[in-house]
Amino acid sequence: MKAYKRVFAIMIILLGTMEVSQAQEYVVEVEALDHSYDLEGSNVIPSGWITFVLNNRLSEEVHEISLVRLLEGISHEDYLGPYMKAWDILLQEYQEGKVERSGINERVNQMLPEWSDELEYVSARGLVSPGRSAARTMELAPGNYSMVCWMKTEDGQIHIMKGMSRALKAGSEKVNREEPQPDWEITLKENEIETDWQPSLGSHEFRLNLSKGEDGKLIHSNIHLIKIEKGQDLDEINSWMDWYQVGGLRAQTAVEFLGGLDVYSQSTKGYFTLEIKEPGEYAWIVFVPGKTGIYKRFAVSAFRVDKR
Amino acid sequence: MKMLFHCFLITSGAALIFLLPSLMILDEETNVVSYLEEVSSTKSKERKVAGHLVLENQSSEPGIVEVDLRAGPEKLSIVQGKVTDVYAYNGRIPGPVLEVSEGDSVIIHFQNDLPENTTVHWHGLHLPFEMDGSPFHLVEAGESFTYSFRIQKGTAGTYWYHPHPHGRTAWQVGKGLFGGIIVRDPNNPLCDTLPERLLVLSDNRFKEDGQIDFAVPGSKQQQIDEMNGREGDILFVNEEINPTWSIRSGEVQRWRVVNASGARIYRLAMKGHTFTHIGSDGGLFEHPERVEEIMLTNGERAEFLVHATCAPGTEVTLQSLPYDRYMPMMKPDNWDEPLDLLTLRYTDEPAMIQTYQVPEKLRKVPVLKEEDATETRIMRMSNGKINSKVMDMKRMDESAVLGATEIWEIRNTVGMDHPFHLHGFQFQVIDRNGEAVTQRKWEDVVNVPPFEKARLIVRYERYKGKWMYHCHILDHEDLGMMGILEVR
Repeated sequence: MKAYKRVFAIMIILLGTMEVSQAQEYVVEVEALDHSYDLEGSNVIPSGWITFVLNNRLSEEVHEISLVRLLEGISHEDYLGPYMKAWDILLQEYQEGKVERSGINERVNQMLPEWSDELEYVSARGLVSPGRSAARTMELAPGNYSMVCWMKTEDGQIHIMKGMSRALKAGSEKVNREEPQPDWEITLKENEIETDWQPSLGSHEFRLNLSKGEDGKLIHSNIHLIKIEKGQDLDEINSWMDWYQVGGLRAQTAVEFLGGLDVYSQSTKGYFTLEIKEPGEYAWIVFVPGKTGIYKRFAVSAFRVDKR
Repeated sequence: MKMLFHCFLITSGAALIFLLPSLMILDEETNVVSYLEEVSSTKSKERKVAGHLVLENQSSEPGIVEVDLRAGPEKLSIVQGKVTDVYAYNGRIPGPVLEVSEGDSVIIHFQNDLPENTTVHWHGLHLPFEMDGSPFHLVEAGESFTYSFRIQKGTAGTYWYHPHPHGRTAWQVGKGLFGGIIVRDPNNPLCDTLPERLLVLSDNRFKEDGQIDFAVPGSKQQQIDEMNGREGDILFVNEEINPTWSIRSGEVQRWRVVNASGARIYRLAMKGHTFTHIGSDGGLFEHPERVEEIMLTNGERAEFLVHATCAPGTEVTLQSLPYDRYMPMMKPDNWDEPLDLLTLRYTDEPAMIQTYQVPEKLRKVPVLKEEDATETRIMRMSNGKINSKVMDMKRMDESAVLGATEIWEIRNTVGMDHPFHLHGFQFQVIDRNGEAVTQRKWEDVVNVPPFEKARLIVRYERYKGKWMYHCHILDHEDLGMMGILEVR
């Protein structure tokens, strides 16, 4: 918990003052509710390296933060209006069997506003289960953003449609902070999760290294830490993590999510922090749609090691 | 008698003659307007006040108001040419007005002739927990219950009554169960002869056959109603659609307004007119405020003076101006259109020469000091939940000590308005988004717009109990956007 305490302390100093020039870290603390975000402080933040902490201490469902950059002329209301209406209709039709999975793109493109191609999903997921907190740090360009949760309720409604969204504005003033230098690294290879991290209790900061394929696209872009039972079928979890599955990302989960990251931009790096509070069985999971995910199981003993 | 004489002088000649008999009644501490309306409706032996039938007081003892109230299914013609199956109090929508005075002991013999359980919640009144008509005290179908409570001093104002069974409130109110309450002040600081109107505002949706249109379970409309709260396209002022009322040029009328709609927020305005806003949920302000419009959220009340400043023979419309209270993805297409509520027609009589002068000071509202607060409670409102919890009758969400003063910070964490209501105790809003509120007033509903917050201060006086707090969008309340404060 050391890292969190440190960032919280800095945040308390920062929030309300907005004196960016003296800042070392800028943390946006977000409390997840079913189904909304409660933001401590203003939704106008500086640009640059910003840490988002997602606290899921009050809710009963898994939540996430997806950050979407809205280009000039597109408002948060536009995102929630015509854009989300299209996805809501699609999801309903898909769940009712009116649209096949292979027809999703065609159907949604019929309904989405033209400007939807200009939306830039900067970062997503980093699923956090009730009772857990997790953080991620990313470099935000100045502009308008929508912070949204794409998870679904037990009856299949997108959390955004229930009210889990918030407009954010990153100003042109840049926070005085360097790129993070975490203690540990994780590198995603085509079929393997490679890390030098020694699992232990406590708070851990990671750098996620991603690689691109011959087509120039990221081979994998996400990783999540989950608390599991011994012998748990991780393929089921991978399948559950598929939003396009009818039951995908719905409220009830078989495992606990402790945080992670999904890098949507073309960056090959990502930074996140999470906390392991109990000894037990854990696994890293890289979600791979329509296939088998990539997993790395490990156990954590009661012995505590916070830093390298 | 001095104040009465003052009222007497400022009234026009014609009205003077009319007022003479009522002044004698005033010496017996009876309200003039009530008396006049009683005289004018002796044929039906039904007493009216502020344009409404009054629950008949069966007691002849001073200080006792004893009435019968029955909820039951009825067939009424509420839209032209159709007969609608409704629920009604004493066969009427809205129900008859309960008229009482500060200090009165009130006894209400309630009979539930509905085919389902119900309660009668005396919205805004400070009374014992057992009499609050909350979901804890259901009156089963076919059963009766006697509500009895005392009207506390300093509580003169406009209130209302409606059912409050958990999960069925929106349905029962939507079927027609609501009515007004007027609590009178024996030392009314305003002139007693001001013509008085009570406007109980509601809206509803109807099918072609005239039946009330509730969304089909599982339908898109139900999803919209659950999110936005159910709104109707037909707006009622009392039992009428766009009624025409009259006013004389130069006249001042005292209007009491109740928002009995399940979800609609009203932004009341009349072109070319200003209002003198004089009161809120818990009675009169300290000072009148001249305003161009008055916003009234669900469950909220307002009192204001209407100044007839136009020429004889003209007409003006009371409208509800557009107000965006909706989730962006479920905003109705016509949300930005003004809606007509009633037509006010100026009589052809010449303008009154002298008009009523509103006192600069109405009353002293006691100060609740922040430094006396022993607790700050944070209420995070999302759609359908408070602090991420759905209401559970077996769970006490908050507990407090009788006599304590506390601050509640109401945070709206979603993109639509939520009106927050606390049972049993009137509160004072201290600030909104950190900005101090200028007028100290008693309220029991505070509207919190998207992503804003309001802080209120409250003292738990006199009554222990399990008090509900909730969003007053009735569909939200039914979904469980409600919690319980136990005062011990």
